[in-house]
Amino acid sequence: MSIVAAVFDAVLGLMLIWLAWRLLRSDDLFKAVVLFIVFGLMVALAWARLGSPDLALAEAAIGAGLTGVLLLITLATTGHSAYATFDARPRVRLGWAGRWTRGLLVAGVAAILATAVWSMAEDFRGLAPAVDQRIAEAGAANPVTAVLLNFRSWDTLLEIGVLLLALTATWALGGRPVSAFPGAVRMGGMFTVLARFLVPLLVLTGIYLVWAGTNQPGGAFQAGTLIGAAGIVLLLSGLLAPHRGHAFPLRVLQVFGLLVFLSAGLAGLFGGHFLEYPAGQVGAFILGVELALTVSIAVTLGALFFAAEPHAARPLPVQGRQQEAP
Amino acid sequence: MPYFALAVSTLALGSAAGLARHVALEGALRYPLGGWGAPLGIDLYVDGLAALALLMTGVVNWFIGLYATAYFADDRAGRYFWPLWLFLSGALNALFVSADLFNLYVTLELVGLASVALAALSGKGPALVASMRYLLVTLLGSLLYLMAVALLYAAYGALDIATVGARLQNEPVAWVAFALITVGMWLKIALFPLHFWLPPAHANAPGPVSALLSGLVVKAGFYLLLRFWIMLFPDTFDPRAGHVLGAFGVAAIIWGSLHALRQRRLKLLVAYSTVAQMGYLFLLFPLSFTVQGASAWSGVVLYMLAHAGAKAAMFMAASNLLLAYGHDRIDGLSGSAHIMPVTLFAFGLSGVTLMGLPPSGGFVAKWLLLSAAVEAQMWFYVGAIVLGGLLAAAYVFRVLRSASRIVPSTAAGTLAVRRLPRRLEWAPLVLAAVAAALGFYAVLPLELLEEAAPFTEVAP
Amino acid sequence: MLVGVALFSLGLHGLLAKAHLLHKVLGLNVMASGTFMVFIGAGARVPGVAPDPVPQAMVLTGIVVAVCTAAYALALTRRIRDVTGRTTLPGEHDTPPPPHRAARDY
Repeated sequence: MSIVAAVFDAVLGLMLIWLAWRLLRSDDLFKAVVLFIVFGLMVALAWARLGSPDLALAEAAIGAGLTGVLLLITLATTGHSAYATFDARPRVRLGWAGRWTRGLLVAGVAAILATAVWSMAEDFRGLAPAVDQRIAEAGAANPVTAVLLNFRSWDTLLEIGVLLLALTATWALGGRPVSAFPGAVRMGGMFTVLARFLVPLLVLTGIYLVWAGTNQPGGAFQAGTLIGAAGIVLLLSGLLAPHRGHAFPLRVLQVFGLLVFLSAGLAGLFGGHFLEYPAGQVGAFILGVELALTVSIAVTLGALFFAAEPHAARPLPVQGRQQEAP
Repeated sequence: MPYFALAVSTLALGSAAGLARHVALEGALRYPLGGWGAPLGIDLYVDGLAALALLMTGVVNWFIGLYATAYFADDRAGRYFWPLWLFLSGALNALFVSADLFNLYVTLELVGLASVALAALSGKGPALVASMRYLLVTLLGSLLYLMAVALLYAAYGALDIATVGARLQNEPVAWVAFALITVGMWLKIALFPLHFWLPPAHANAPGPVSALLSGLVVKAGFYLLLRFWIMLFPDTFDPRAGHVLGAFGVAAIIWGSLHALRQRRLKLLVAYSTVAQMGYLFLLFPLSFTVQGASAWSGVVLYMLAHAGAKAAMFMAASNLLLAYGHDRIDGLSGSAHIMPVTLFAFGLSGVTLMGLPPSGGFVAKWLLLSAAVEAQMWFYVGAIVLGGLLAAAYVFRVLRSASRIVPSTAAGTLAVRRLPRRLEWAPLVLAAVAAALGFYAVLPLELLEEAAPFTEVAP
Repeated sequence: MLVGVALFSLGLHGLLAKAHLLHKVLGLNVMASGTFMVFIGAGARVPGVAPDPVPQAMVLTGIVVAVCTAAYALALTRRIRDVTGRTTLPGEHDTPPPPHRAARDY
């Protein structure tokens, strides 16, 4: 490793720690959220440095982008006053004994974990050789995709379950839907223009990522997130307002991926095991599942952002501001 | 939707029974998903313990589902109860059959998220706040677990539990991973002193949800802990750590029981009794190292099963009182024994199991635990088991006494009592009876445990 | 991997020390990033060899799970704010809720 790279990595690592410290200490919530988004992008950079471009893409789209937007929206709806200071001064109130205990606890955890990490052997290959050995049978040249959609597809199936569960759980809260961004109105047509430009770009990139994902970095999750992000931009700009009529088709799209995945898995039962794709068509099966998953992930993430069933969609203005009904 | 969900639940119960039969006849079962096989792929694994956990989930779930069809008869909350309930059942079953460390993390998150969403179902302030606390605790628990998985993978290069178990060495990484898993599950099981989140979350949830959370969900964490102690860390483990856990178990029994005794609200009383009873499960850890280890082991598993049924029944009965009276202040339930004898009988019967009176399943379980403790001359634990039983009797009888107090029938309070559909009253009674009768056929689950004793190593 | 440990611990501190629910969610997310860092660090320890894809796949799953739980936690935070007017857990920071828009039921 060249010295430049080593220095870069060290700076990146320190930067991550420093950002985490700053964002968790900050008394200004808005600043904390912005720092968190920067932190997410830095983490993405770290993944790229660690040789995981798949993760870098996912982290930038999901970890920094989507989570960041969710945080900002929550801030806009729960901040004590709109766009003034987002005061996060409240800290857990503890006596000095409590604070010391907490400090010792955290320091202890850090020390113990560091010892464990430090003590590990260096000559580690994990399951990489096993993956290399059988990648030819997996139907995908990108090893990460092979693991996600074939070797460990059960995890991925359950993960789609987590996505749908989170949506159901959010709906069950019966909260208000998130409607167009208050800033969108004040910015006049700017945001709308931006949206019209951004949406096709996001969708195109998404389609490319799912297509390329079997052989190159990318895949259903990164693609789904980008297309979902396009939906979120539409929602925020007020160009798209879900209503009652959307409820059923959207729901079909949300479960579509899981259904296709399950059927593909069940197809394996003929002469094999659950989730064992028929030999010879593995690649086609994986591509089909990925495409279906992309659609469902995109729609589910968009719905998760909207946070309420289209049924109940009385677009209540964020922060009590009046705005045009889309 | 309700009947569709109940039909699915019936199917799940049937499959669990079929699996249990298979395990009893032919021993433990391993299923390679995708045909890859561990360590590259993910395996499902069912031994006696898993089969029992599946059966427990199937039976308790079915009765809760039946109860819920009447409970959510015309309630908006029911709209979301059913999908979330199915998610939770599926997630629990997936957790019990998984043989893969990371896959278990995903199932843990599914269980946690579904539980929190169910706990928040009423949408009222206290329930939402309790759910938030529950969510933060359960996410923290999962993250501690995930960190342990990361360390184990980094050290041993595998995720299959048996494979990791075979490669495990007595070294710092293993200890740290083990500590992380233990603390993570500790949070999820709500063992003293990390129990603070449980009573408000369980008590503020709708009736069927309280039953689910207290009867089944806390068991998921304990099941995982059992798996790891038995399959992952059987040798690397120091008996002294077992005594630390045992001591916390004893503290939980006493602390939880005393708090249960002091509650004014019935559902909080039942929730605190869960805190106490989780303590019994932790007595396993010190006792499993004694000569009578196997007996302690059977006792604890049996206690887990009996508690699942009895506690679910007790929560349903308590919710009936809440529904009928419009409140659950224990002092204000006078006369309920005469108005709702079935419900009160269900409450009493599940109380018998929790106290550990013969011939209930709880009795056999406690007997096994006691005999292990006596044999090992660990009088500290003997005392705790006996004292816990006495305290349980005290708080159960406190409710029954209040309920059987006769009030003049002209009192306005009696007239205001709502009549409940029969299903609401009978579902807990039958479930309580099943839990109590576990004493008679305790041999069956114990044989199933023997059949594929989790002590035996699986081939990696 | 050491960076991962540091992030994990910092996140834990944020979770325990900050009362605002949004800050707690941030703390959990930072903890998760720390855990992922240990996973990936483990898979990329040997220089010059292609990193292990299995931890990458797991972390990808982890990132999706994390965004799901975060989305739900934030929706719950908004709901709590709507119903009770607070953004902290009672008992951790006992100031009266802000005067405007408190305790409104939608």
